[in-house]
Amino acid sequence: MPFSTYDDYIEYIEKMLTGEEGLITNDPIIHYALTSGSVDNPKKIPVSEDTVKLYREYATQYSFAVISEALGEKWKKGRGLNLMEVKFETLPNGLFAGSISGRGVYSIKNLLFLMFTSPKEVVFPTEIMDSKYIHLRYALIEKSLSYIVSAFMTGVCDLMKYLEANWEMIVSDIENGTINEDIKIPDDVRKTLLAKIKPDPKRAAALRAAFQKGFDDPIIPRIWPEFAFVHAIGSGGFSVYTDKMRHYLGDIPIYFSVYAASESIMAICSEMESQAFVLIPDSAFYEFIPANQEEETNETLTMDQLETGKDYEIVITNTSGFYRYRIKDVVRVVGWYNKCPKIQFVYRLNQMVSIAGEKTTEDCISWSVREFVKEAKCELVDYSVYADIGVSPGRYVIFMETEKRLAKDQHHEYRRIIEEKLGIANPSIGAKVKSGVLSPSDITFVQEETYALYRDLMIMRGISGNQLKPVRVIDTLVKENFFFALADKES
Amino acid sequence: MMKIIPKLIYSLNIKKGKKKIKHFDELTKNAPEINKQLRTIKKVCLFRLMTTTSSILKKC
Amino acid sequence: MEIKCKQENEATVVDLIGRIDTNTSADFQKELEEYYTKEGFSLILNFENLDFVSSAGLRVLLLIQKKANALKGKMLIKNVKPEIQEVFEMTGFSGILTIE
Repeated sequence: MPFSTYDDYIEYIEKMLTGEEGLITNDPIIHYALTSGSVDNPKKIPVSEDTVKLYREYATQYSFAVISEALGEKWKKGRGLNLMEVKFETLPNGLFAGSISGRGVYSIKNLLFLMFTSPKEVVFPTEIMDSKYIHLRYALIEKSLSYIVSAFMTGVCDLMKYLEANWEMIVSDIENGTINEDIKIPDDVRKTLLAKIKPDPKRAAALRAAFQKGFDDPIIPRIWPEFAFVHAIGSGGFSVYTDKMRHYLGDIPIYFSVYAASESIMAICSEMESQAFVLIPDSAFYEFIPANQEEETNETLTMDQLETGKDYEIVITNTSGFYRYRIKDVVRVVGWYNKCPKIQFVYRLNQMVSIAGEKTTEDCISWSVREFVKEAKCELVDYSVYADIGVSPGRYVIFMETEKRLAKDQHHEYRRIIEEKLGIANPSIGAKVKSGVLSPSDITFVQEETYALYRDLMIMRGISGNQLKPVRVIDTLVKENFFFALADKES
Repeated sequence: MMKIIPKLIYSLNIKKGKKKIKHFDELTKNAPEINKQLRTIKKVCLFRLMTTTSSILKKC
Repeated sequence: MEIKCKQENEATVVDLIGRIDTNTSADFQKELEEYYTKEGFSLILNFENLDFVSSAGLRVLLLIQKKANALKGKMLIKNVKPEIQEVFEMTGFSGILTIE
């Protein structure tokens, strides 16, 4: 049986969408997961009852038990703030298509109000609305808020930035029992929400006092004294957002959730704060292809044949009818939990940048940028990499947004630093620059708020805010035009 | 009342989760074997896929 | 940046002079707030004397466009200089905004 990719299943999936059954699996398909990666034509991944059960058992039950064991009495088990929104479309076969995380939320729709602060109108939005405001408006009323859960850390971080910019308006609304007129909410929803709100001048005064002291000291423990943890995917490419969240959280720990895709939940954190994920042995059959393997082969390794410190492409046979499926992720074995490998996501194969065969991963770029920030003593907002083949020979260009504009006359020095760091992260770049196969790398700073603007645009085009992943590789003409147009020509 | 109900729901969830932790612990002790069993099961499905016609698939 | 607002029939015409960037975008948003938050608003932004729009300024334009979609309003941008038009085109804004 050869390896497969999504394209091998399209023909079957299209028939399944019109109601045919038993095509790729006899297990009943109950949902179609829309992948977040592609804007134009998201993939529809079939999800069986078994897969949903695995998600429920691991992503909710197992993970909350791990958190409970780690935190003990520190977690008072009050309500949480859930940022996962459920936007489903109904398919011709009558099933729903939407994010897999949304499916989990949908399955507990009748318990939502008891577990989470956000009203159902924002969890199940029917139209575009200012969801950040609504999530915060209701969470802030709740002094005993216990935690925030989100698919990705980007969503949590954006929410806190919004709070920092808009706390006066929200606090005033809490004081008066109102929803500011400028907040975009459909009229009927506004009416329903207002019916659930009462003026709370006491809570407003406490919040105002906390916000007036500024955001330099961690704000979360000051406004929510029982706040115990954040539950979100925040390692690897998300780490810039995780670092920012630490600023709001102080000592409050993070549970880094799962390593998962629409096709399967593959690994889970067995400890609070750990960024290593234990492969789940009963969620799919796993095969591994060594990442440095030059020639294409059908030969694979099983988990007992893996070695610590090495990178492997992961191939899954899942519980929803995909066979020897290449999800195109490369993981690194970083340790063991009993006989099970602990892994970390390293890069996506189609997100790897290679101009002259040097194969630079997201991991290399992320390390170089972090080291750059330390040496240049600046605060990072976000970054991407671009393989510039418009010059000859080609070169790497790092796009970066910093909190404050850097000195223009230091640009030469910044180029030197990034060149040095990239050469350390991937020695092949250093060697190829020396031998003239690559041009020296460059760095381009973009204007303030460029990355926020990109996210705004994606949201405007209908992508759910908490599904947005950072732009790590500028790999399409659309992204290329966008970031080049917004380069800070004055820095 | 409002505080008790979330606690109850979470406690119930965590109780199930603790059982899952124990189960997971056992699974990981024999992870390679357990995982290979999934391959054996899936090989049957694989055959179904290769035969392609829906009617045959449904009989499997 | 200078902002001059005048009423012409049903529409509010806004002449913008200078730059909309990180330093001025908050003022730009605040000044226009009373116009773009009304149901069925009609806003004409005259860019004739506007030299530069940064990412922060584009975020405000996007916000006003969102309001227009939600409140059945209209925002029309006129007399755009070529360098700003190029930014609109490269960022995909020309497909979102109404530019004349």
